[in-house]
Amino acid sequence: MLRTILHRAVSAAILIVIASVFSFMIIAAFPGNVAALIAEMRGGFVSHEVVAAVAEEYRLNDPLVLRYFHWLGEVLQGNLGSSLRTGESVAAAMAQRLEPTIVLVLGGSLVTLVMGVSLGFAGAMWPNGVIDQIIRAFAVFNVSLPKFFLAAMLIYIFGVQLQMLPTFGFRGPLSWILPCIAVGAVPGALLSRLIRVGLEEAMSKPYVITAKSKGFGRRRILFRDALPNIVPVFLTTFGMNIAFVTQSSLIIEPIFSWNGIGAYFVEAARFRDLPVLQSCLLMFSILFILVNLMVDLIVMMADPLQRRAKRA
Amino acid sequence: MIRTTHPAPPPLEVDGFSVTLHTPNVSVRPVDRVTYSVEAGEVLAVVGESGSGKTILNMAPLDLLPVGVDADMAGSVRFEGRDLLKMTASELEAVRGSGIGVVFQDPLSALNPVRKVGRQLTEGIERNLRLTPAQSESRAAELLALVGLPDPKSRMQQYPHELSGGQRQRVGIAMGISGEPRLLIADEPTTALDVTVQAQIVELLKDLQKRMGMAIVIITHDFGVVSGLADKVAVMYAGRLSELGSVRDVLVGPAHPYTRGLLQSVPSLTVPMDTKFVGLPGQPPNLAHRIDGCAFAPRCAEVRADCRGHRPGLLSVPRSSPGHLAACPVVVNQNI
Repeated sequence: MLRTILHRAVSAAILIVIASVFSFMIIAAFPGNVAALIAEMRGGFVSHEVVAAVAEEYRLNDPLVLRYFHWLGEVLQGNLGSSLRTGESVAAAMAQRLEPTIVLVLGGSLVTLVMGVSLGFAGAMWPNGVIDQIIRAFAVFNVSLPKFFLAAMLIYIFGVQLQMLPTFGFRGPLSWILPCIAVGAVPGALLSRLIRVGLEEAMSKPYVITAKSKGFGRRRILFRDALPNIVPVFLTTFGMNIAFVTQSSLIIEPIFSWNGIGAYFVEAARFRDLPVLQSCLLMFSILFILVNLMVDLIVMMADPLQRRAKRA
Repeated sequence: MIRTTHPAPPPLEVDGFSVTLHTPNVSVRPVDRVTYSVEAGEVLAVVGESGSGKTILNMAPLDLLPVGVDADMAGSVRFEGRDLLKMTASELEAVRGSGIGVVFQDPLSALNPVRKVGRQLTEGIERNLRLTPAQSESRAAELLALVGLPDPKSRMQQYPHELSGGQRQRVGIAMGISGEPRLLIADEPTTALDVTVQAQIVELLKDLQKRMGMAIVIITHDFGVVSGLADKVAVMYAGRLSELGSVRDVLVGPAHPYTRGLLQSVPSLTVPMDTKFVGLPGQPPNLAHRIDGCAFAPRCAEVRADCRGHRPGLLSVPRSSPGHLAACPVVVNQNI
């Protein structure tokens, strides 16, 4: 058990190092003359001297390995460089934009959880009933829908037609509702199918017949016997969902004009703001890897077959 | 006013009971017009080869067949006078556990892998004996001690995979009897175990049956279990009852050629080393096809022309006890 935890932690650390190399390489591998690009973005007359000065400033002439370690040293000290466009510190800008993204990720995950669990259970409780059919159709509809389309529909229905909810900006809990639904609906639909199918499969196991033989009814067996058996699959999927929701923030934040990390990233990509892109990539990668590690460990803790290996 | 005292109905009366299973391609009839009964405190062994319908015969009336198996049932199966086949789902739920307890064949898959053994045991006790969690806890520990598990308190904190096969089977038996049922159905409770443990389990069941006074139906293909535990034997072949009688009558004086073949094919340690082992030639019939005559006719040494014509009913075996019945007119008529 301890060995496995250690093993997972070490692989996560290695993955983070690899991710940092890739994030760093985005400058080295960027097409064209990076120094000229940076000089151009600063404005003014771009002479050979200016380009040479920029190359010197960004250590672009140093060997790649040296540059990587220099960059890594800065990152570890919390210095992510400064934006080419605005000149402000990337770390400070990210800290400022963290709140909307955290709201979106947590809120979206909450929507996923509530939707996935309630619909999944309803489907398993009354298999092939009317509710199950509706849920199935809804799930397929949701999964095959592009995220921006769902967001646009939500804005149109609740913002424009019904005028119930704000559709613009990050302004208090009411304005959180639509973006969180837009982000959480698709993984929620996926999760509901997974729970529904997982419960169905668990309900066909012999231990369910045993529970029945003790006189218990379907609802109780569903919760007491089937549910604990799908916890590992559920946790793994829900963990992946956090990655999915974070990724969705790139699309959803600009649609709802939220100034989050996702919007920051999209903006940086549009203006080729390399230090920002680099930092966002690194942060997203670390977040994914850590979430995955946590999910793996929680699954291990939750599964008695793994937690307590058979004693010899 | 005249008051008549009715004798209490027996725990189990199976009458003309048939099961037809439907799959997308074929329909099979694994149980075909079976009739027998089990009296209070009696142990009935249902024997027969794999696939002879023993398990379906006993699990189908309780609605304990695997999910997805679509069973049509006919006839009647009365538990203490009430027909299980006519009960609603909730009436049947009330019978399971407290009225009829079940011990399953494969103790590993019958236990939930991610729940502690103790919880799986106490939940049934709480429900069926209406005890508080604390009372159930100590009752469960008593039961585990009763079935011969040492250190029950710490066993209860374990998961099924942490127990040995024999320990799991004992937990399964403890679960079956935990609701103090009047009837226990034990489906091959010793098959997965080695011989010494088998003997212990048989002794245990016998002991429990005496102490709790319950009736038992034990499904087995082991004649050792039959002679050690049962009062009565029902021999199944191809979903039909071929012989029924007391253990003594059936084991000592088997009437039906199938029962004789079955008994002959039990390996014995008391015969000389070089004796040729006699098995039963041939294969059981395919139940997807309609069988008009005696189902055993194709494998039978005593077969006559009229055996294939129509299905023989159960006949009283001459020069035996009154309850000894066999579905073979040829043998029964020879012995008159």
